[in-house]
Amino acid sequence: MTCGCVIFAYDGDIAYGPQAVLASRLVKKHLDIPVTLITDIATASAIDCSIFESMIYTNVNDSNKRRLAGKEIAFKNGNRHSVYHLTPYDRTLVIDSDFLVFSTRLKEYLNSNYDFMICENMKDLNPSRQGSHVRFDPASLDMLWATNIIFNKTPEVEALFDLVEHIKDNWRWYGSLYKFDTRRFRNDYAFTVACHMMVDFHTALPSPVLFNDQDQLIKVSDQGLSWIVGMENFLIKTTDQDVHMMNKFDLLDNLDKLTELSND
Amino acid sequence: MDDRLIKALEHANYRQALGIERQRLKDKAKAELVIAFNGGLFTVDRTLIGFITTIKDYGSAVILDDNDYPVEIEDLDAFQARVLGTYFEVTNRYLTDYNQIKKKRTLAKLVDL
Repeated sequence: MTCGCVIFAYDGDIAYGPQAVLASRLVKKHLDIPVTLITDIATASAIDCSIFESMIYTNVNDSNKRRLAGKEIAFKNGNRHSVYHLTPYDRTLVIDSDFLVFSTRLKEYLNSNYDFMICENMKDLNPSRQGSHVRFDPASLDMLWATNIIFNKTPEVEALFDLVEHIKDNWRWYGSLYKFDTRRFRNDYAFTVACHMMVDFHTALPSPVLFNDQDQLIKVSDQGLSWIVGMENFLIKTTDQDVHMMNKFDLLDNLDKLTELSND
Repeated sequence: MDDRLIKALEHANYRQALGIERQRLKDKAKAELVIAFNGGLFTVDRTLIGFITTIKDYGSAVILDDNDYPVEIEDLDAFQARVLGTYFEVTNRYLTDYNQIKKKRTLAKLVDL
C-alpha cells in the first residue's frame, strides 16, 4: 500500500508555490513520506520542483477572492475534490500549502485504518478568541477544516469526493439549505456538508495550532517559533507542533528562516 | 505611569503568557499520547494502562479504540510495551518542558525573544 502527501498550489495574488516547497520539505523531514504537487505550469516554473516526487498539472479556471490581512486577494481552490482521482497513492495526506508540519503526530494517523479523516478543530492559543470553532448558523453544522485530510481509495470515499464536487456545482442551493455564506467557495464548507450527508463518515484528525491572518510570526529559531497574537498582542511560542499559518504574507517573509528548520 | 504600576502590568503580561504556555504544553502532550496500533487509534492514559495490565495475561483481546471501533490485539505484551513506552516518553518530556518554563521568570525568556 503506497502512502504519500499531496499539496495543491496555484499562484494568484500570493505565491503559493514557494509555500508548497516549504510544506513539502517539512512533511519529508517529520513524516518521511513522498510528496506530490498539484499545480499549473506557471506556478511550477517559478519554483524548484526537485523536492517533489511527482508533479500533476491541472488548470483551475474559476478564481476565488478573500480578504487577508486587510487586502483583497485572488486565489484558486476549486479542484480539491479532484484529489481522489489525481493522487498517485493508496493512502493520501492532503494538506494546504500553509500547513506546516513540525511534529510526527500525523504519522500515527497515517498508520491507522480509518478511511477518511479530517480536522474538526484547530487550536487557537489566544485565550480571548473563540478559537477555531465555526458554526455555519445556530441551526446548522459545525465546520470541519479541509486544511488536512487523510483518505484511502475506497468506493465510499470516492462517493464523498463526488459529493463535494456536486456541492460545489450547486453551491447556492446548498448554501441556502445549510445556511452558510455562499459569496465564495470554501472547501471547508463543502467537505463539512458532504460528511454530514454521508452521516458522520469522518474520523477526527489532531488539531494543529491556528494562527490567523492578523497574527505575526516575529522570530524563527531552532528553539521554536515566536508569535505576536491578536488585538491584545499576546506573546506565544510554539515548538514541535503543527501550525496552520493563515498569514501568508508573514509566511513568505520568513520563508528562508523556516526553510532552515526543514533541513535535517 | 508610576513604577509600581509598570511592574504590575509587566507581571500581569508575564502571568498571561505563562498561562498560555502551560496550556500549550498540556495540549502538546495530550496530542503526543495518541498512538496507532493494529489500525486503531488509542489515547494513552492511566485508564488504558490499567486496563491492559489487568487483561495482559489473556495474551490477546479485542479492545475498543478512541472511536469505539473494535481492534483485535493479538499480542498484548507488544501493545503494553508500546503504550508504556509512549507514556513515559511523553510525560518525561512534558515534565522537562514544564520545569523549563518555571525557570523562565521574564516574558522575553518565556517566549524566546
